[in-house]
Amino acid sequence: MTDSRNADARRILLHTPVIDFLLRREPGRLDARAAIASFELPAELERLALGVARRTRLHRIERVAVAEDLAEHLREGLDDGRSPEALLEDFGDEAGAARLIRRSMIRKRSHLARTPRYVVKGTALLGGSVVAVCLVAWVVLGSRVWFDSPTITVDHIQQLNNRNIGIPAEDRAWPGLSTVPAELDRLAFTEGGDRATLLPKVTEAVRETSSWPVESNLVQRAELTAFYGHATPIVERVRELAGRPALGIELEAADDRSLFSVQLVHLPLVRGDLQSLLLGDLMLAVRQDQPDRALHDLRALLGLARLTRAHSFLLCQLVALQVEAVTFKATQDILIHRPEFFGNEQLVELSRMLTAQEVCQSADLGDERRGFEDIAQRVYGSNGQLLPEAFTFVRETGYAQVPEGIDNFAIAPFALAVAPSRSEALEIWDGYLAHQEARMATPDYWEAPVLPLETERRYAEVIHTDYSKQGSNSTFERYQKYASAFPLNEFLPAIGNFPGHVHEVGLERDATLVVIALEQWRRKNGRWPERLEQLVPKYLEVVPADQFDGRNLRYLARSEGPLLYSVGRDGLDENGNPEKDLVLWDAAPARE
Amino acid sequence: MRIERELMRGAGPVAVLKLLETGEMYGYELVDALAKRSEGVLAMGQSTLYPLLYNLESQKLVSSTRREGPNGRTRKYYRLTGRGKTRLTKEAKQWAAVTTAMSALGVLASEPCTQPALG
Repeated sequence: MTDSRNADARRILLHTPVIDFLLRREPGRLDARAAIASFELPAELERLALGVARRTRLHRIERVAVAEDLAEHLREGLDDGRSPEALLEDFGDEAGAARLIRRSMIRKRSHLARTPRYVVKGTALLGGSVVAVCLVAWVVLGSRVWFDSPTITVDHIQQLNNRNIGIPAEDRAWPGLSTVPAELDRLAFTEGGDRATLLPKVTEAVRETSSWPVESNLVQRAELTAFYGHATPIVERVRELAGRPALGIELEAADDRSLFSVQLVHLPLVRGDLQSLLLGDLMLAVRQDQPDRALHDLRALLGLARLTRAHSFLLCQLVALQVEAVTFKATQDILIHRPEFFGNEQLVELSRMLTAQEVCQSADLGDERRGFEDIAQRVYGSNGQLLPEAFTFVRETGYAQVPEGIDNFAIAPFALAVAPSRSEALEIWDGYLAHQEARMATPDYWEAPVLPLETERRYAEVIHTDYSKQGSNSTFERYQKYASAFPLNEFLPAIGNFPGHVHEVGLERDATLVVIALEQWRRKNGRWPERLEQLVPKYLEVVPADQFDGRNLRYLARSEGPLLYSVGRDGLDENGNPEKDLVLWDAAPARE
Repeated sequence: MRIERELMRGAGPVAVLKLLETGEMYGYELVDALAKRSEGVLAMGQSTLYPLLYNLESQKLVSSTRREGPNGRTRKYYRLTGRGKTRLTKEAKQWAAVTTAMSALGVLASEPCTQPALG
């Protein structure tokens, strides 16, 4: 007994926290072997107590307590006269005992001590549930897209080309217009100018010279005169073609017959060589005092714009508008710089010609709307669900903004599930373009239809956005935002400003009609009128409305010459301040 | 005779609580008393007793204290708590009811019970 006490005392002394720390060993209260040493068990029983305690996988301090209990029990058994073998046999299954002890010891813990276990268990349960739900969702969503495929039922290009059926060749401007550049190139020049060098200069002169066309340096150059000396038959042919009732072009596309890959080869030709050829000829006609020739050129330019609208794609509309805007501006400039250039009858003819050119009413986007129908039949499945083919389609069209990884096997089913369905996408596409068409077609832009806020917001979400600029969001947020608008966000054009642009060109048309009427009034009365109303009804049917506020176009009868202006998109009248209002025609500078 | 595990699971805790009713006891003493007083029927090994004691402690039916015993070594003594006494009373009543019911059914008799004659 004394020995045992001495041993206990020695153990306590040798296992103080300080000694444990200095000897870099486990603190005594956490050292099971040290804790049961005082029971002086035979090796096999000590191994049993320590082994069971270790197998419980409890906290160290709990293991020490278990080891002590077991060691105490075994000691009592030995002291009771039982052999170590008998005690070992009585003990039974160590693993089973360790499992039962572990379970009961854990129950013994306080709620606070059990918190980490609850957290781990709860987290594992939650995580497992989330994973399970995601897995089920993935399988369900994936099965909707992996086993479906798009069905192409309508050849939209063929349908567009069917419009040409029944139009005789002599009524078609195409392919006649397509051969013009080659015909110009075949002309033999000796004076140092040709199509490739001169026509771009005409375009440049139009873009850069405010006092166009009379005083442009270009028209004074001999090579321009020489060029048109040779090209006159071709110019006359272009005028004749531009006056034909139909464009008659047969559209071509890539092998997949996708409307998105359709080649609108006439657009660069109209914007480039054809427009420049006619504008250059117009410059020379004014310079050489040939008003009939100028009138023919203006009529041909308006004819080109009309033919360009044979297809109501947005691009076609933009080109037509550009040609019209240049034509109206050219007419106004001629009337400023050469007021006597056109005779009275020619002014009447010019007025009639411009009146027939309905800018706003012609600006429809029907074919642009058809465009998404064609896309939809290539990327949606039979149940209206967006398919993985959509990612491929977008990439193949050259729209490489699809975020990397969103189309991989694991993520694609989720991304496609949050994308708008076929019907929803078509509704948005049609609705958005129809709304812009309505804004263009209304004669009163200031009263243009306004969308409900919710619809406006939805359009803003899906209109083409630059995915790479959403860098501040997390990948998940960016994926989510992108997918919820896909594929509209790749194709729906942001044309909120387009109707305003259409109306500005429409205003230019109206302003040109007013300018012609002013000139007619001035010729009759020898001075400018005080008010535009004086032009009605002899020279104008009505005073055109300013489409940005609904009142008459603004007119200032100044001593230095009249000023015609619109209040512009902001709807505020700033007395013709060119910085704030939209000045349509200012007679003063040229006549000073 | 050793009893089935399931039955032991129900009887063991009550037996231990009953032993502790008379005063505190240490683990080995409990095992010894259970074996002797139940004539081996409720004998349980170390691997059963300590989980059982830990469970009773976790339910606050017993409490333990480690202190030096007469042999000079430390021992862990277990004693019944107030809650343990209440539980023991309740369990004892239930066991009495079960025993009575079993007797009525003839389960505890040496001969099977006979059905009363109908009508």
